Amino acid sequence: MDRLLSATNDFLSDHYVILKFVHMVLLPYRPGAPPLPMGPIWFLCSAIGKGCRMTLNAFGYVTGPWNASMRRKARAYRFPHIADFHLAHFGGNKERLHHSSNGEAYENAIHTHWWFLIITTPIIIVSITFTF
Amino acid sequence: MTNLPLPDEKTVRPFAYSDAQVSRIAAGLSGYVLFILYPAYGLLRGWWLGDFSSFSVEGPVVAVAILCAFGFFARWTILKYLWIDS
Repeated sequence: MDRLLSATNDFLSDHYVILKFVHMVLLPYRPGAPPLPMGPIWFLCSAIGKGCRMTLNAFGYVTGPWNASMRRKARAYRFPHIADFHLAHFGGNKERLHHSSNGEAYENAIHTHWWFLIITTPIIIVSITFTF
Repeated sequence: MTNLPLPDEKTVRPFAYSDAQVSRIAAGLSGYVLFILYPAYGLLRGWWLGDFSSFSVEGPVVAVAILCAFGFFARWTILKYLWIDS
């Protein structure tokens, strides 16, 4: 297990920038990918925010003492992460509401999610800028 | 990936907002940091390290300046994406 963690740590550390670039910039624009809803700037803000949270979480757990501060940041990022999961996969899941034919709930969920994205965008832009 | 059918037209409503509402949100974001997070940070720093310099003149002045700038930035950013919708 230690060797696996160590290898993972080495791999992530060595290829961090490339992995991040592929994950956030290339993958969403691959052929056949669904269209981006609001253009590249919004997408980058959103994707970098999500990717940052995921990356901080992963690094916080995978790496060693080097990452004490990263682990703290990962904890702080849990709250938007929880909201993200709720809005996308649990109570606010639009696909499920849509299939349930509850148009009012679907419309409310769309508006709530839209407000979430709109309000968190400036927070994400500023926090990412100061994190890295 | 297939698109879902369009939602029921009877329940669709436009995304309503006003500039004043966005201003209140931006002020709330700044105010939350200024009145909750910054004092909490200062108190914890004083509690653990005995350093209460966060509450000297310079710290709050810088915090107010930065958070005013953040408030304007947040308002501008939020409106920018809402204007796309309208």
